[in-house]
Amino acid sequence: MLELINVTRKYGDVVAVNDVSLTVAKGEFFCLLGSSGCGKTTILRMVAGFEKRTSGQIILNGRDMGDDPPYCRDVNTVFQNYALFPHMTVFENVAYGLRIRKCNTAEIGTRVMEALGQVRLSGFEERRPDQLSGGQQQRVALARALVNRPSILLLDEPLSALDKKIAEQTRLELTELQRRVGITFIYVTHNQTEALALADRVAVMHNGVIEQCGPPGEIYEHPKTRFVADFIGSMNFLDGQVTTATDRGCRLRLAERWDVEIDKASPVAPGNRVLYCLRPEQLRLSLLPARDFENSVPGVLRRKVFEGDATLYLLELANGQMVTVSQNNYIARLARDFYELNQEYLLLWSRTSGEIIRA
Amino acid sequence: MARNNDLGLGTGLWLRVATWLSVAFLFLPIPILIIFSFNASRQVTHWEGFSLKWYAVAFADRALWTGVQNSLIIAAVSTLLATVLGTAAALALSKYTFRGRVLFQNLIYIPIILPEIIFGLSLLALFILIRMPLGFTSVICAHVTFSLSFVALIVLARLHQFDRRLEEASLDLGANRLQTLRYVILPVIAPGIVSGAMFAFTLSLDDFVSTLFTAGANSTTLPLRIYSLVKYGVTPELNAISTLLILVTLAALLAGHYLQRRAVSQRLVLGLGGGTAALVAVLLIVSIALADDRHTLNVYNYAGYFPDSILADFEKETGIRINYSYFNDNEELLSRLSLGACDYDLVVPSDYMVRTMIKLKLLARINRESLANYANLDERFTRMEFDPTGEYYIPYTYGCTGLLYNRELTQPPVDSWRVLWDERYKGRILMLDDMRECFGLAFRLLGGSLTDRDPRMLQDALALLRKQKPLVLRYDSNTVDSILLSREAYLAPYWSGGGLRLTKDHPEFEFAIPREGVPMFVDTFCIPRDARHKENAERLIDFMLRPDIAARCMEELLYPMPNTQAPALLPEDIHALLQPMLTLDLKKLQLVGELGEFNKDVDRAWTELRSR
Ligand SMILES: Nc1ncnc2c1ncn2[C@@H]1O[C@H](COP(=O)(O)OP(=O)(O)OP(=O)(O)O)[C@@H](O)[C@H]1O
Ligand SMILES: [Mg+2]
Repeated sequence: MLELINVTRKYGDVVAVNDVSLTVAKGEFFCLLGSSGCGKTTILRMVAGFEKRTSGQIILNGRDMGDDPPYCRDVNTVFQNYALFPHMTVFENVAYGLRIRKCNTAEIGTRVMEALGQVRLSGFEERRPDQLSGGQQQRVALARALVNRPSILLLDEPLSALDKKIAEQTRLELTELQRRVGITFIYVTHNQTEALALADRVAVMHNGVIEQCGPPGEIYEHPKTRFVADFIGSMNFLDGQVTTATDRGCRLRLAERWDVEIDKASPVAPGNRVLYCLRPEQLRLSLLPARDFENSVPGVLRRKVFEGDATLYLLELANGQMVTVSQNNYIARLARDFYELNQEYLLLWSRTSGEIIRA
Repeated sequence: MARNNDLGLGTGLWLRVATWLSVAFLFLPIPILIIFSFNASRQVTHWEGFSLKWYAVAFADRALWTGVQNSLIIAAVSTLLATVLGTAAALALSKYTFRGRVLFQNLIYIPIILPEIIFGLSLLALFILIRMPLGFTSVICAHVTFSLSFVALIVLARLHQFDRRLEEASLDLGANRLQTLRYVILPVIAPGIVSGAMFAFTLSLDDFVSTLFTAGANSTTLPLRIYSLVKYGVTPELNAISTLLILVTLAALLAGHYLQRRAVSQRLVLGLGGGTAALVAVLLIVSIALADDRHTLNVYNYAGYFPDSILADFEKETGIRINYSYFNDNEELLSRLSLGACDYDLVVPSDYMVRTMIKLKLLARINRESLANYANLDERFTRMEFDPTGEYYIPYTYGCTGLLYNRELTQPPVDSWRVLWDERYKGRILMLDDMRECFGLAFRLLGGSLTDRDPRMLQDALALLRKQKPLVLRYDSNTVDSILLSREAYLAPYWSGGGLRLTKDHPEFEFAIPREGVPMFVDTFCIPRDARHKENAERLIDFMLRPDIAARCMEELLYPMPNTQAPALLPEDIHALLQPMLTLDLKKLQLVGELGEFNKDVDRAWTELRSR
């Protein structure tokens, strides 16, 4: 339905978007995730028609949109700062697109009321934008775009100006709304939690390039690049070299010291330099030696960070690297006060855990 | 919080005092002006009781209302144009990058930074170069050029605050660029446009300098009219006009404030303002199109120097429409006329200026045969030394400098300029703040004349005036009436017009013609060489020479006219008043000549006298 083929955008020497190709299916909730300045907004603006491509094609419903101006494109945008028209009431704001399209008054009335109902703003028609809270303004912006029933709705960090509680609530409503209206959403954010919670598929961007694109679970559990692994959640990286490899698993030598076994297939060959990625919650602290399905590495406990539901333990390995372990406080309640600083413990993890990324 | 030194207290007190002082400084003149608009006397600073007569005078002042009307038309049209163009310029500057954008942006500031006089001058030069006749169009062009800059800057400031994403949002919702402009950009920047328009309107309404340069025969504005009234003598009529203006301004401010507090205001104000301006523009165009040019006469004269009622009668009698515009002195008249861009049919220069104008070939010969009333003229005035052929001028009025004194405070006889050196009147003598008058007087006492241009006599004259200086209360030309009325001074040399007017209202005063002789002037009717309505001008001249009309003129102006038939028709009191002027021995009079280079020497001596 929406297809970007080798799209590039340069500002002078700066390559804001570098040879991006992606496909968004009809009815999908698609997320563009990346840190600040990686080119997310630029992609969105090219789709909306505010920005020209340097090269490449943007195809909507089988038609290349070329350099069509924004008002000829069947997409609508929800702007980061909402961009509500300050001189119009809520009703007039929402009705704007329909009025421009010369819909008849009766139809405008019903559709605007319906859209306002969808965002739970019935009764606010006569207010002006400056008489609304941030969350309400955000919902007006949403209704103003939705009421036109575009093929695609583009949302540029729509929740970033809201406080955390409201943002979380709105996030839930947003998914529900999207399911209900069935319009394709392309949602830009730098907030990974948001992306993982909302999206059917996430594209992680870095420096104008899409590093990985897939469903949230896949992105979280099987990051394909170091950037993605690092960006999504927290991650420990251990340098290693493949010693043996079979189709059922492989052996690694970590930091040229510790041999570990991995019990899952990875596309590596002996001699490859790799990064072994372990999430803090996949690790466990112990005084007892590893069981036979586990790997272990020794380390000295340097810090404890209490986080409410979990406690983070920072251990220093023999090569000086710091590794973070997260233990659930409910499960390991007794253990919490047991570990002492500057004592040596074992780091343990299951041989099926962790991802191997080619370095 | 208490402070432990008295600085805190002092600061608070001082702050309050300073605030009130500056408020007083700013606004005190206004109540004074309003109070004196109700003064029964024609003196601006001498209270004689409550009266509304100056309001009546102001309301009856036809030229004033023409000025108001012209000002409003010009302000409305130029505001409309300046607002549209200024807004367009601001939009172009903020939205598009084009070659020369920075240059354009800086050029916009020029009319604001440039001294207005240079601006006016350059516009005038341009209009003359492109042969655009001076009139409504040229004044409107001038006003548009500078108010456009202000509008553009104000709107630009507003556009800087404008969130570009609103524009994108509109485009995104399917509106094209024009619709976006119409429905989003313009409404959001409307307050800027409205204040820009209001600013342009006031700028245009009270612009003086560039209007002075660019106004033509039929486009005299209110400020030009007021200024010419000031030159003619500050009267409470001006206070009355100003009071009315203040009231109107206050009302407009209140209305604006009231409208702004209402939600619908912007659209309403825009609509109303735009509508009115458009209507006025249409009316203007229609009236210009309909005006029958053949039946007009463009008069260029001092304000009020042809009485309104007489002009009205002339218009009624002949069906000719008179456009009356003002100059303030002969030099202004000369500069305007020599530019050649102004469409004047009848001008009123003084004697020496007639000579200059003839020399410069600026005047047309007057067809004296067509003037049925030419025979009424006193022959001594028809071929004077400045035009011995008498072909280029018809004498209108004459006057002289005489001695005005309070009979109750002086001892007779007061018939010589020598009394101005009389020790008895020490500190009670007022002298005109005018070097030619002062030195002319001294030269005359020494038995000579300024026009002899004798440098040795100049030294003697200076010595004479120095001797007089300790006796002199002040050198002042503008408030002679008030100073004499308040009895601060007892006697003063004064011009016959003002002197006779004061004597008429206050019988204790007397206007004398000293026996050593006095300087005189003759004001004349002249027709510019390229006048387009020469015959109409001649009809007006002839009309003014009619004995009954001349008598009315003399009564109103208190200037004698060299008309042999008219004095007999004057009311007795006016006749008595004018008697010394009517029976003047012309041999005692001396026309003021030109001084040429000698002027500089006199100027130096004058500076010396005044500084020590
Ligand atoms: N008009 C422009 N001129 C020059 N460079 C630009 C322009 N717009 C964007 N860029 C650059 O392009 C890159 C991508 O910008 P973009 O706005 O797409 O980032 P983003 O991913 O949306 O970031 P953020 O999360 O901060 O909004 C940035 O390095 C930015 O500096
Ligand atoms: Mg962005």
